[in-house]
Amino acid sequence: MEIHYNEEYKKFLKKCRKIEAKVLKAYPEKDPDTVHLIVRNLIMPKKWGKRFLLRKVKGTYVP
Amino acid sequence: MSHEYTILEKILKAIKNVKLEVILIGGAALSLQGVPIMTQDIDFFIRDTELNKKKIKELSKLLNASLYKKQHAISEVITIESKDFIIDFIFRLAPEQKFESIRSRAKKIKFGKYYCYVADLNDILKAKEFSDRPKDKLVIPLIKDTIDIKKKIQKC
Repeated sequence: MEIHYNEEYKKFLKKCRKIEAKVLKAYPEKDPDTVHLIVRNLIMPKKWGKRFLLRKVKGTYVP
Repeated sequence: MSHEYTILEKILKAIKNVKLEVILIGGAALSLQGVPIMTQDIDFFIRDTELNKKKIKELSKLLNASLYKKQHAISEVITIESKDFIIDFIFRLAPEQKFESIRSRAKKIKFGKYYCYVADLNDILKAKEFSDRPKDKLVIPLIKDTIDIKKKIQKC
């Protein structure tokens, strides 16, 4: 079940799922959650900005 | 602009000022190309020359950061570090991986006003396989998955 609070993200997620289905058909041995993360990263609009640096804030590593 | 892009823009501006040629490798380069990982440091591959070592000293002054040397799995590394970032300068990757060949396959990515070469996933994979460290071994399956998925998406 998917609950959507954001229309823009709903469309993006739909596109992700479509691509993930094709990828998993070609590579059924791959982990679906990992495939989702990779597909999400690859097709994410540039304007959303990629997060990859962890910073230590009050003893905890945060993006 | 995200925190990462702001930091990278600041670093690339200083790198341009000292005229240092760099290629982004490591976790940041992987993440920018879709590999689902996060990192604490920014790794740059540079040519192993005395002039470049002088330029790193200059860069560290410009960025108001501390400088120290350490021995990495593959090569000697010079690190410059401040409260905002940790940058590792790596002089060697796998034996056959020369600076020019890595750069010829690298992508040019824009961070604010500045461009940076970002090493190809296959080149980073080769370096990770060569380094043979446990933390590098963990990321290898994710790099391979991303390469496969990228190829599949390009065909779609």
